[in-house]
Amino acid sequence: MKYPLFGLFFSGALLTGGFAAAHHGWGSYDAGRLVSVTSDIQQANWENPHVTVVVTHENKNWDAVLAPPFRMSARGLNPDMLKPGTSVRLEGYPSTRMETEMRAERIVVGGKTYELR
Amino acid sequence: MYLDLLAALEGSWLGHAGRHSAWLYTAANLLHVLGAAFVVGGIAVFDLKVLAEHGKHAWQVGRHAIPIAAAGLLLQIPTGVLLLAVEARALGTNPAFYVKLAFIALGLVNVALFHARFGSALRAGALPPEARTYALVSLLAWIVTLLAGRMIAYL
Repeated sequence: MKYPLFGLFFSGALLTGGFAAAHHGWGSYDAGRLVSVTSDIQQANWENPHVTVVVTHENKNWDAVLAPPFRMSARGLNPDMLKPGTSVRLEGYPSTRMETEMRAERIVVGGKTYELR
Repeated sequence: MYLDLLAALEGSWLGHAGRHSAWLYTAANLLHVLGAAFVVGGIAVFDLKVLAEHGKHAWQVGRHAIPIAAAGLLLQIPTGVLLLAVEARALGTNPAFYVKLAFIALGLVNVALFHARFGSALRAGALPPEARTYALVSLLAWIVTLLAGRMIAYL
């Protein structure tokens, strides 16, 4: 390969998954349709600009966009509370562009509700 | 090629650091707003001074306002690259981001031409009337840049 460093970065980018590329602006969620999901967390990404989790809803994997890590911490959440296998309830709005993506307004974890807006 | 560049930026240590450090990302976010205020604020007072009174005494404003705008631009570059690196593949192909880049290019070409053509006249306190066109283009370019930048989050 002509650019070994670039190749390294590129494969790194591919490995970190396609989720970030699917992440859309705040305008592309249908605020008229509240979706409620109760599921175990399959995967959690505690990352900027928004923490994301993968959950199961109606036999499909959904990507849920939560709040920025800074706000998550400020509201009393931390990465240990969102480990894979943890049961959570999410309430939020479905994406108008991706069939299985939602923006979460609140999360219930460990019997406590955390507002994410 | 452009998409490869975005992927490389996102996969770089900078992208990684931006995604995983709450403080770094938040600080970049805050400073990017401050930098935008310096750029647009500094440029706007100078442009308005060039437009008003046929540019008389424009340098008296410019010698203070231009350094503020330049400092803002210096702040925007590193903070902007970090904010982009966090989600480069998604943000770099956002339509508002293309608009933003185009208007940054317009603003930079405009400021270079302005100073090349009128730099000495500005310092001598004798701006010709043609200078006003550049002031208008500058106002437009930097205001659209700011608005397009903010729109990225909504598209």
